[in-house]
Amino acid sequence: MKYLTGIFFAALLAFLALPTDGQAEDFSVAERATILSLGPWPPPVIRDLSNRASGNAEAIALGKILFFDRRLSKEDQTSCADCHKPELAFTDGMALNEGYKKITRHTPTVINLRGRTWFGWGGEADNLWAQSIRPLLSRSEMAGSPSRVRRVITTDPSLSCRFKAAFGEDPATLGKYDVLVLVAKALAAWQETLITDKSAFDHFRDALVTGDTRAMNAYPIAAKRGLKIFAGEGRCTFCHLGPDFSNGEFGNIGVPFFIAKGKVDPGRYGGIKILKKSRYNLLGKFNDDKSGKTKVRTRHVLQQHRNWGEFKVPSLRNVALTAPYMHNGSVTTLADVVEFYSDLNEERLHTDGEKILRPLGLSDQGKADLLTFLQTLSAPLSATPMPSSEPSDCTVTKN
Amino acid sequence: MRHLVCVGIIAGLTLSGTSILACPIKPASTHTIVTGKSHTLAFETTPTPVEVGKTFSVSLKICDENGKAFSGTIKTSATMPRHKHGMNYLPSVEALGDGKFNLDGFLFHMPGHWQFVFDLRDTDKPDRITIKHLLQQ
Repeated sequence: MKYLTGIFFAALLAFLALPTDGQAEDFSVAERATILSLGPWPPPVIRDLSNRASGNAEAIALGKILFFDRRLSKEDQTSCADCHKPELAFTDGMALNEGYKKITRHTPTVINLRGRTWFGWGGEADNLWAQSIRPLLSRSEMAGSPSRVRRVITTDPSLSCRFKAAFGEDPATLGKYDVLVLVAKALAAWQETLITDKSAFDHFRDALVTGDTRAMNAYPIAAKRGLKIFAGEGRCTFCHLGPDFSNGEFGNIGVPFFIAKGKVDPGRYGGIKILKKSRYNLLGKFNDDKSGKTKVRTRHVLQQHRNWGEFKVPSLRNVALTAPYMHNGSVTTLADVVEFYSDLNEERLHTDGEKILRPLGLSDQGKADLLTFLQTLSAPLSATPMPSSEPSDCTVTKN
Repeated sequence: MRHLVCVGIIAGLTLSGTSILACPIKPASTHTIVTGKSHTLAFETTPTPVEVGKTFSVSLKICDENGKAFSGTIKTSATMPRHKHGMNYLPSVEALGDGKFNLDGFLFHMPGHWQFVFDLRDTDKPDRITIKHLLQQ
């Protein structure tokens, strides 16, 4: 009997020592609420009020063509798609790319940009069309110019036809800056359609809403444990929140921001400075929003000392497909990112920055679980609901 | 004499009533009423509830301790005391008259415990009124 009792208690202790099995009922009320707030996905189709091309089938068709057109760059060398490669989830897979000069920031994906508010690692642009102008004109990247863009559009009959169909205006009658902005608006209109489908996580989240036990059980147990860390003790959702897994703002997590001897990347601090000076920001004449709603953030954004070393909080959707990581591409793999947060170097954090950051101190299993969860955020591009009308046939036949 | 005292009291009540009516703050489900050292403030956000990462505005109605509409200036901010940081935005203040103000450009970029701060200045009586706000995800 004594022997059997001993076996019973040993078995009980072993059972209690088992890690959580990651079932839905293991989530606390607060964790469930947090998980539900990470959806629904995909986001609703809402037109960008600042962009008259947003949702316009003609402009989307034009933007798609231009995204792959190298003639927009100096010496016809580079297109948007040469750095935002469709086969690499619209990234380049490199830490730091090189155009006409060395680029000091990592190329982010252009998937799931619809509805975002700040663009660029320092938030240099407050809208997607202005962000689309930046690499076109950057001397380090495509090194193009407003004159070049206008020339390409006006001298190519097919592009000229599509431009007229999209905007109702003959590009030959417009100035170079007007053509540049409308080209960027077409590029933005196309990028807005690059939205991913539901991921494995989204199916789990939806199952939590509907109480679909079978669908909940289809989600890997390790991912559920990782999600529990993410939404609970890891406190990742202070910044990586909402359906986009980002608060859309900026943070300093201690990634070094030296770019060369004696040179630093000012991050958000410099980003606000560039934003305020930009003729393409939402306070300028190129904003198509007559209601003024889109201007509120830009009008009130505040440059502060703590913005030094702050960089955009990236979305985590498709994060497993967009290595390497951080604003400078300095972290090679997603497992390394988990390691980075587990061993976060508090000494590198800004003295007047976020005070809730601390090393997660995860066990090996915790790290593996968090990694598994992050991997369930991947999904291919969805068949985005396109505008009902078909774009014009602007095919030019040569005699 | 007795008659005159009564008239005086009635006149005082009337004047008092007039001054209160000049700045009425009545309880309502749509706003929160907070009293500082020398001012009372009715506070309402648009939209309600506030959402993480979304801009919102604040409507204020402010009366001083004498029941007069506040006509001074307001400086405003909001902080997360536990995180030791504030917002990334500086709201603008528009005086609408009769103690009413519209404050635009607030944005809370994290869930958690926030605190609105309103620094009121008129003549020689500065007043700071704070309002705690728990922002859910």
